[in-house]
Amino acid sequence: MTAPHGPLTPFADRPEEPERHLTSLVGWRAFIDDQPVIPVLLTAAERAALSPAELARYDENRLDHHTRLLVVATSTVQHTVTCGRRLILLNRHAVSARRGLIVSGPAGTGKTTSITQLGRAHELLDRARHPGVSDRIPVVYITVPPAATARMVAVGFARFLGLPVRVRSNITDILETVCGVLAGARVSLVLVDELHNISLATRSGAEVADTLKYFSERIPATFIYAGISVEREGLFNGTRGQQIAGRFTLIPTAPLPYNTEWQGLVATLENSLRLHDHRPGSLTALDRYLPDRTGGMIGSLSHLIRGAALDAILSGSEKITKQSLKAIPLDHSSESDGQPGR
Amino acid sequence: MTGARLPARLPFDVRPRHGESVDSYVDRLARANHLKPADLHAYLRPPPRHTGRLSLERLAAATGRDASLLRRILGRGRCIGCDGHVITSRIATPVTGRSARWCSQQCRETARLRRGPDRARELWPPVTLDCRQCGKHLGVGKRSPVVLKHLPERLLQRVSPTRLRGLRESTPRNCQRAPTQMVLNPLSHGGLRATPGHPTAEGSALTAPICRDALVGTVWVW
Repeated sequence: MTAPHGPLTPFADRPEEPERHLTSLVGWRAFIDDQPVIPVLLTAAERAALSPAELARYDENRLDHHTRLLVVATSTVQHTVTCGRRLILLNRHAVSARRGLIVSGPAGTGKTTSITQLGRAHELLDRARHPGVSDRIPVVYITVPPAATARMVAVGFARFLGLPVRVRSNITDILETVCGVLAGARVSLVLVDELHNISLATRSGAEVADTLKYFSERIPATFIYAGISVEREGLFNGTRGQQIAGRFTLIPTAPLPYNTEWQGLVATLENSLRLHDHRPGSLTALDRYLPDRTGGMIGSLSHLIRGAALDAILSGSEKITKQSLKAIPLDHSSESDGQPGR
Repeated sequence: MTGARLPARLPFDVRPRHGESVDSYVDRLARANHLKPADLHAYLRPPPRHTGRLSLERLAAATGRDASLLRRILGRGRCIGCDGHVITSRIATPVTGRSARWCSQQCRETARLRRGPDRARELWPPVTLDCRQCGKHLGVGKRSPVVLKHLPERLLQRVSPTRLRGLRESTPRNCQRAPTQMVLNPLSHGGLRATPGHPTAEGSALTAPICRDALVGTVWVW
């Protein structure tokens, strides 16, 4: 939940923490505990009464607010969280052959957001069920590195947990350590992102798939995978692929079509804006421009609106117009699918 | 990874025991985290080569504890009585309920007497020393507890409160080392506590000057 705070609250610079990313336990817990504050929009008279230093701090707070990615519970996010919760409960007493989930779709359609929100919901629920217990690690999040080998995946688990890995450690030692710690920490949900980096056609890719399978047998947890169109990349081909296909539910993600959900998404993003001269409803009134420009990609839409909001604060215009939206360059995929410059 | 970066916190933490050595604590920490102790020891040494002495700052980062607190709690592998190297195994002191480490039983006994000087004075009151050979007054001697280890079986058989003189007579006449008079502890059984493997005599030792003329034939135990 977000909470408003005073307009003159000093801007709290985040400490420089190199480990502050989701693939480490420190970063993951910071993500879970993160509760961004929403700056209060001052009236024109109040804003005019601010000193230059206070005005700079006020604007800095608003800039920081717009740099954050607002998470909207789209149908994909809701479906992933619902299916994931159901699977976790179904696997609670399973001793083998646990079932999992694969979130697959084009880039920028909210796959990572969906599985991280599932992990966040599960960890918060676990904390509520076990208050005051600090040695539980209910959720593990790793990404499959490019050209991954089985050892690299095992090291990814160890790095998340903060376990030291020596260069000369063999994969057996790492697996034993990781499995022992994960079982002791009562891990119940494992999120594996960037699954498209695995190719079952190669030997190392097959070994990675086998390693993940081994982890799923050793660790009493539900495994959730996410990757770009993995069903088309041959993840379900061959003997290993058939085994994966037989145990994992596929949740496809796609660009959001122009419908009431899209309009609700734009309205939610617009409501989160903290601009002085922005007229509410002006973004939703842009009708077909936004879906045509972004190709229905949620990530591109968020980037476009937040970028225009930052420009509006920096330039002093304090509002988003169609012209200011056109000035924001988007990712190549959206620009090539849509018609740039429209 | 940069060399100056501190390690991430380990998933499981164990509580350090007072007076425990760093090596013992790291061993227990490794076992709790399903790691090989040797690997964790190497990991906690300063990067990039991970050689040398174990870094307490890295240990503090890996456990999420304060480095100064760890430095205070964990022992340094030295005797807490005399700060000498610990060569004996850990001896538990039931009074305080903690594990302490002593370099020797003598050091432990000294510390015990330091805690109770009245008791020491009661056991071993100061004595007036006169040269036994010529009767010259040598001053007042102050006794200190002593444990003599690995005494020859031949001497042990002869050392007793009643036959102390016999021991004196058995010493070589031409010894030039500082003479020591041995007064046996009246609280220990018969003044002796010895086992066949480790013959040991407890008591208080008194080192005092002796007149030069009386050196020959008056050295008792050394």
